[in-house]
Amino acid sequence: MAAQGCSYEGIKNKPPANVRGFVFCVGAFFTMIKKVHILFAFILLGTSLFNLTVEAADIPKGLPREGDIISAFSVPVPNNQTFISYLMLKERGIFQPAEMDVKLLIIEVMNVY
Amino acid sequence: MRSYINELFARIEKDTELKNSVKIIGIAAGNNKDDVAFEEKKYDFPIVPDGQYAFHQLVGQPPTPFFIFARPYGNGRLLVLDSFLGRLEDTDKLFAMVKAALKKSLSSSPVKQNKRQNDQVPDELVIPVEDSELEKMISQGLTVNGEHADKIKKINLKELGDVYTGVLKKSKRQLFARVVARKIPCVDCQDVFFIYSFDDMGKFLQFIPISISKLDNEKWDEKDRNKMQNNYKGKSLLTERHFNPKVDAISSATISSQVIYNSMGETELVIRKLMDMGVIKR
Repeated sequence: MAAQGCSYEGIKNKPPANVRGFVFCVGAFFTMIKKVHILFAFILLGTSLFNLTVEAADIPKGLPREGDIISAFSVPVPNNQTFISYLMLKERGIFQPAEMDVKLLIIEVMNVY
Repeated sequence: MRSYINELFARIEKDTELKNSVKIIGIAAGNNKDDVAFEEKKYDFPIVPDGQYAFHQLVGQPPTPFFIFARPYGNGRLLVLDSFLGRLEDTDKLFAMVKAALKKSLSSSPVKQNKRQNDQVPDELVIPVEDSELEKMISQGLTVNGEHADKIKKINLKELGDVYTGVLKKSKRQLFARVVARKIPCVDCQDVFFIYSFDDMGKFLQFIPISISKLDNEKWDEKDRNKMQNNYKGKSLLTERHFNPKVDAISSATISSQVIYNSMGETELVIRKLMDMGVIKR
């Protein structure tokens, strides 16, 4: 029944079979869907857009994000134990990323408690 | 509980392309060498203690865990390629982020740098009580043996916050009450607000919580306040104190207690500033 609206019967120059098939399916789809489906589609679209924006907004203001430059290990403040400990990584035979050939440094800011 | 980052570390180490190009380190905000030494065996990657919150403050005092993907940028600087807040236990997704960040790092087209560099000020914390209530608390802090300090005035010490000072009439002793607002390096913790008072010799007087929470957002009660008060009672704030979580922490508020200790440890700096400003005369 749904195919009647997009039937090519009686037309002399019929389009190719694959085009007819496609038009048939699109026609069938729009005939069958109800308003509730359209609403559902909008909800899905809205949710996916919302998820995209939430991911970007997850980083609160003031925290480093792409493109920021941070002087992480360039301020040898007296008593700056973090800097000293960082330098100790080299002493401990681990590595010193700022001066070695490391392309990507992943830092997890944590608390061990 | 920690396995997802260890798992990521293992995947990177197994990957011949990534092994020498990508490294993971942990920076333990508020934890000293001993804390880290005790806990380090849980981690497969190196942990750098940040006992004075130097790095934590530099990156805007994030809750933890907070991840920064960065490229060394010369002179100890890092160019941030990606960052995210919170736990991401899907190691496949995490691994994909690592690869994407590495691709950006190796890309010949430069990453667009933000205008604001290192001067991004996080949102200022707002003291969660009315001014009148805060005034009462400050007045309480500037009270010794029932005698209230007179001629109270406010001094702004910029990054060290506001300090209120007044003088006791009888003894002419000058007192100070410092209002502290701090973010906590923990994802589910509430910011910490409190007042502590001391005299011009750095002797501790009172600890007054404005708003401090424990686990599950339970507020500190009088018992918690008394414990913190007793930890410092009669002591000089100019003597360095090492925070021992087993002895000094308020139950279910270890990280908040640690932050309080760190803030009180800044008193020497506060007094030096007050001396430079001529507020304390020697």
